[in-house]
Amino acid sequence: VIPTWWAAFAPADTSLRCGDSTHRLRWTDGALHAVDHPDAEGELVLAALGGDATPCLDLVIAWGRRSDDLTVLAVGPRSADDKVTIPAEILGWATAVSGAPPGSRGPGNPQARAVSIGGTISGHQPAARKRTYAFRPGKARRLASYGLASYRGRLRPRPAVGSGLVHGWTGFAPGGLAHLLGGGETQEAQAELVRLLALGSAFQFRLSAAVAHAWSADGEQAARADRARPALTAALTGRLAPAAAQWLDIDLGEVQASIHDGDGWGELELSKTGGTGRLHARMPVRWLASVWAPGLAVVDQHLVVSVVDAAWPTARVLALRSPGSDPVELSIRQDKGHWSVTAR
Amino acid sequence: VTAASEHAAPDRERAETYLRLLAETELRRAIAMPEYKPPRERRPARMIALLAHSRRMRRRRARLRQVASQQAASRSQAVSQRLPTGQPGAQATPLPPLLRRAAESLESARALAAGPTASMRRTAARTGRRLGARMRSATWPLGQPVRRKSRHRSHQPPPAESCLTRLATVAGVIAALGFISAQTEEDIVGGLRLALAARSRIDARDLLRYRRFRGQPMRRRAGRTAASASLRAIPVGAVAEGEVNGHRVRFSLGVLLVDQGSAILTARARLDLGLTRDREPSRADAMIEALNEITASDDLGNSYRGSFSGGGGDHRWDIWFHLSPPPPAAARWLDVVLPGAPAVRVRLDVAPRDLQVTSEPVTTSAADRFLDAQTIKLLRSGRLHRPRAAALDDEPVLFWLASQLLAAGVVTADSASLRRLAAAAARLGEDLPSQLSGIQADELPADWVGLLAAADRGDGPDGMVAIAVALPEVDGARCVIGELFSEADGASLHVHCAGWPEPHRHGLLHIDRFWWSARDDLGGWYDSDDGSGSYRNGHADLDLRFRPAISPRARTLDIILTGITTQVTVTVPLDWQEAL
Repeated sequence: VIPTWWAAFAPADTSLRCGDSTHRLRWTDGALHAVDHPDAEGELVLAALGGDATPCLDLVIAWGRRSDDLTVLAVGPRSADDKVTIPAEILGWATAVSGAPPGSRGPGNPQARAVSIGGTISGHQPAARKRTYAFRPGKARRLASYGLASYRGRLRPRPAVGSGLVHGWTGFAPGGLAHLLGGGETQEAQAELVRLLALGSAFQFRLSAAVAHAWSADGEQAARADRARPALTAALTGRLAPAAAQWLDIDLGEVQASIHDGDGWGELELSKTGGTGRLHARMPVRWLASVWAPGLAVVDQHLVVSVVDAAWPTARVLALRSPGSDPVELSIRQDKGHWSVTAR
Repeated sequence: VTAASEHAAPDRERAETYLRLLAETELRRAIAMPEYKPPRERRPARMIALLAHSRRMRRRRARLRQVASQQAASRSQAVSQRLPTGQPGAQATPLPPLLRRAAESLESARALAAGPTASMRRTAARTGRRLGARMRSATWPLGQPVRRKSRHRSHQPPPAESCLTRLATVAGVIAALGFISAQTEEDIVGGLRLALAARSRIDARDLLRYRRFRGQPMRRRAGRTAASASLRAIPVGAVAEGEVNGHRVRFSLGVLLVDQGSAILTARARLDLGLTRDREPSRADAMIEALNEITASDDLGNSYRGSFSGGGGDHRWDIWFHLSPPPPAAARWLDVVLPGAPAVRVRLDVAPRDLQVTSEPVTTSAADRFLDAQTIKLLRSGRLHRPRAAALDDEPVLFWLASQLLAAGVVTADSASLRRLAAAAARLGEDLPSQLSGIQADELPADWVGLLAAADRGDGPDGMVAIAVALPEVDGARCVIGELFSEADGASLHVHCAGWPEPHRHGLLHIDRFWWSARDDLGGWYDSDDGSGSYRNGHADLDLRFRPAISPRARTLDIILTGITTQVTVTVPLDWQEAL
């Protein structure tokens, strides 16, 4: 049985200013929880019908939409050392383009960096947990019904405000950015992405994992993965290279990765020419979601290649001691953000 | 050009993968660089600006208060005068007729003075402009030392900007060659741009400025305007002596291009020798003013005013005169009045020229054509363009780019264009970079050798041929060739195009999807350089420069337009008319 891609992730929490209150948002079990919005579905329906979405739900929708966006992998972090800190000017632009309500976010707001939300898909959640937000990227689905009104399809956040912004400057965004308006879907998508990346490192890795999962063999975009192979190859190379450099002490540029499509964890081979090593790797896209994103890539000088079983904070993984060797099963545990081997 | 090359289907996936991996490499490079902190505005400058602004606002407020108090005073005076009589409208009653009479007198006086004052105003404006231009030219040298001193304060791009430049250059070329789509190019370059901005490696404001232009028509691609089938060209081929600002100007009219809703008369002007030696700074203004006053009228009694576009220098001006609306189909002739010249009659009912036009499939790949064009430029200039420090790995731009194309699979090690590049490098005594060291140099094509041998030729005929031919559609573009001007050291061709993509430009690189060349009946081959052009909504007006000078013994010239899949050739008899 393959464990779920989020099994090795710790929950992530944050808070944000939502209206006059500070709300908590939680990412856990691969899904997004707007903790302080018990009737999230009802609010989403109202938002879809032209009402005001709350900042919490605004970000929830953005998260859902970007959960299969390959740009996340192009922009997001490559390793734990790679700090992605969105500059205030860019966040201000993104906030303006997305039509977020004044005062809720933005460079002048101390809460600007404190926005949090997460999650991608539902279906596994108990029905009793009404606070769970459900969004399936890329597919139209019925989200909820409210009285006589029902909504089917992908939500667009706050259409009334958003469409107004496209045509004119409404004055709540930072000055001097009016010329940016009038972009279109690409611009909106990038603005959403910027706002999500601004949530912080923990959410950046979780969003990257969601995207990688969506394009992996058992993800929702698996049928289209062939067309995305160049982007996935680059994403894999860019993330395997720092891990391999840490594992083997080789140059980052000496890692050549490609996508492994078959069963199993793939293959690794180290070739040496003139004293410099070059690592050739074939790994499945799933490795990004289930191994790299939770921070398991290198544990106690082993390169983890797959997760056998996981229930955070513990996991059983297959790992390589050296290139060319057979993988060994390790039991590992995360303590204070650091994974270490507990049993071999 | 001459040697056949393979025309394999482009390996799009390999090219895209290469670019995305290049983006990863460049990101890694950039992460190793320090974070970029934009320079702050200097405090004294900011303080001065704030002080000036507050003074300005104080003066405005004072003026407003003054006006308001005056109005309040006059209102209270009127009220105090009305109150004793008890008839509020009594004093105001006789005013309207008086006001009306005064207004009428003013109107008639204005009408009388209109003629002389308008000309006086024009003269004053002209004199003012002339004086302004003289002052600017006189004071320019005085400002030079100050400007030179303050040069170090100018904007210094963040070091990581070079990472973005490298990727954008390669992606731009590969996209122009059809290996990736424009959207993919945008995704890859935009992704790195955002990734760098998110890591504070480039100026965030640059990212925002870049977004301002996204989706604007400044970025080439296939022209949004479909090629118009109704585009037709009418040869004019007339010369007229005119006068601008007291100086002789010789106009040579080329062709009239008529499309749905527009008509353009192409012309060239030569300024007399006295005028070219005259360094009066206002001369350019005078030319523009005069050219904007060109008028026309047709045999149906319609008169036309239009606008001028184009430009020129000390000796020569290229002119596109846009008539609006275009002459109706029933019109038989058009009289065009040029500055200081008698009317020139343009026959609209002439039959189109019967020129031989052939169309055939292209046998060379776009990548080979691109590299060949760059190699010819290299051979003609005789020197390699080297980038700014660290911008392109310190290699000559062309060699660096060829290495990238080879690595991306856009060209292969046995590509004819790479072998020719190796031959060109050997001819110039330049070493190829290690990535290209395995390329076997080929012989340079005979055409290229002939072109280089004739590079210094200065015996080109002096004249013009009004070609006026519409070419069949080539890869979505339709072109009308206007006139060919020949001079001692080269020739130029005016072409108007619809459905024409704006070319990529990356620094000195000019990447076009189409390639113009020519061959005369003696076998001489001519290559076009970038020339100049204006682009708008898929329309383009091109001024192509052909090198070397056209052989004086040539009787016909094949003008060749090569697209991605199709090549069109038109054979033009070289019946030179007097031009300039």
